[in-house]
Amino acid sequence: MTDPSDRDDLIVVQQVLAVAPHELEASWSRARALLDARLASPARRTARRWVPAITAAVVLVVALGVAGYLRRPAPEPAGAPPVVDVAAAFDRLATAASETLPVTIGADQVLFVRSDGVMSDFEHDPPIKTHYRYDLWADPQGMRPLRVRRYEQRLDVPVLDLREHQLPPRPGRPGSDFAVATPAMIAALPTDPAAMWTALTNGTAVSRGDWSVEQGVWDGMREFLPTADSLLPPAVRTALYRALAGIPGLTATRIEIGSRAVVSFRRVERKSLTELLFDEQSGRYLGEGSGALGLPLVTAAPSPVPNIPLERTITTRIVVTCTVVDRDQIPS
Amino acid sequence: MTLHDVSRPVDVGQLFAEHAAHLLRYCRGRLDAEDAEDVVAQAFLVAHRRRDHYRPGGAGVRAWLFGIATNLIREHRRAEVRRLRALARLPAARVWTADHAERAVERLDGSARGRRALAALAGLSRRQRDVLLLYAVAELTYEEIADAAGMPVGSVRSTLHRARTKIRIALEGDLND
Repeated sequence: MTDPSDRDDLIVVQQVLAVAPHELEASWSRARALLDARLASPARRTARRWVPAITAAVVLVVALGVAGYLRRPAPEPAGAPPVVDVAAAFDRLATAASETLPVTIGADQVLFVRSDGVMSDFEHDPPIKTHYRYDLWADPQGMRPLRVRRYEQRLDVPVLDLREHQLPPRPGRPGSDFAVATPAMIAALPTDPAAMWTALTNGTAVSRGDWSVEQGVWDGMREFLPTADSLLPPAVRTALYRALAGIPGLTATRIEIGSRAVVSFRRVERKSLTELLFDEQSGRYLGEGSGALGLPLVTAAPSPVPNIPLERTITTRIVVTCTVVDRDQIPS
Repeated sequence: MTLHDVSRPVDVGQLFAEHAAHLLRYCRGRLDAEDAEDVVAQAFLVAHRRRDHYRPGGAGVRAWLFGIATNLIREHRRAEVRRLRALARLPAARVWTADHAERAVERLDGSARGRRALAALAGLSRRQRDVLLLYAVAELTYEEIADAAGMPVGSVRSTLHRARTKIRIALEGDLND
């Protein structure tokens, strides 16, 4: 057995360098916030302190010149997307979808959701784009993932990466939250926009974190609509669209994706942009996009994924299709 | 856990949840709060960006993270030494004991011994201080320290022995006062 006095020096060192638990907790939160901010930002370049100042200055001047040349503002595509009125756009979508009845799901059936699009990964140095496909077989009772497959193709490297994806955890019991909706919950949603807004704020609170209530609802639709859209009764859809139209800070533009006329609704909070896409003809949810303000303009080049355009501030865009399939079609 | 097994949006969060408290305790022991938090955040960012270089066969994710953090701390070496010397000059060294059972040790004239230990720490070579604090504060194994510090296990043992000898001599000087 070790003589305690043999560790005396270690104990003293531990003591003099120990930090109070409450200080550590505060540090943990601040470090986490720093990490989140850096993950959301392009790669940081840390200047080495030993570099002589004059050399650093020369390098900086040259680098700024080169960077300024390379990152000069790329011309926007001819004819910027026309801005449309948010409330009117949502109303038109609700009208277009008013004849669409919700699908019915049999006892032996599940929802199959395919998300297909392009992602920009700024955590790689240099940033890369990937063709992203995410297949989900979801139990309609809580939209619980039963099987997930993710495909990625790095567009700068001709490698197809197929992997089984971990099943993401979902909060709460089925029907308690918009992220874990059930057909019964969806059918029972309010048809009054004000009541719908209350349901939305309550039903997205769990995953809201420290974002605003409005952003929590808006972001929560990315979880809800891919699986729930086809189950929405027309009156519920209308109330949902009207409730969403009241979110402050939304902008709407008309764009084209795969020869389809699409309405893109966008909201920015903390420099993060969240976009929801709706098919103008059917009035239904089509997909999502995201991005961040202040990123380098690497996405100014045309999107290499057919029919999925990107924009300067939209660096990820995904089109979603949802169908009902038999349970025995889930791949083993 | 290998970093290849987890999806991109999740892995750095999981890594942070599992290891950040441990890493912070080590970095806060060596640096002021602001620098320590910067180092820890940057360590996870570096780990995330270099996850394709991580080889699961080594001493583990923990050693890998501490290695990255220790490298980052080297950029703060002068600040670390200044801080240790400043703490050593304080009238009563700031002593925090997480385990109340260890307060018996604290009663052994903790402040005077602490000041001597701090001064001795400031006088160690960078490598000796890295190895000693990875052992004493981070509580890594010899193998993990070897991986984190990029040196053979035998060198870890000898470096640690020399560092501890210096600290002991400083503490023994206290008995002669």
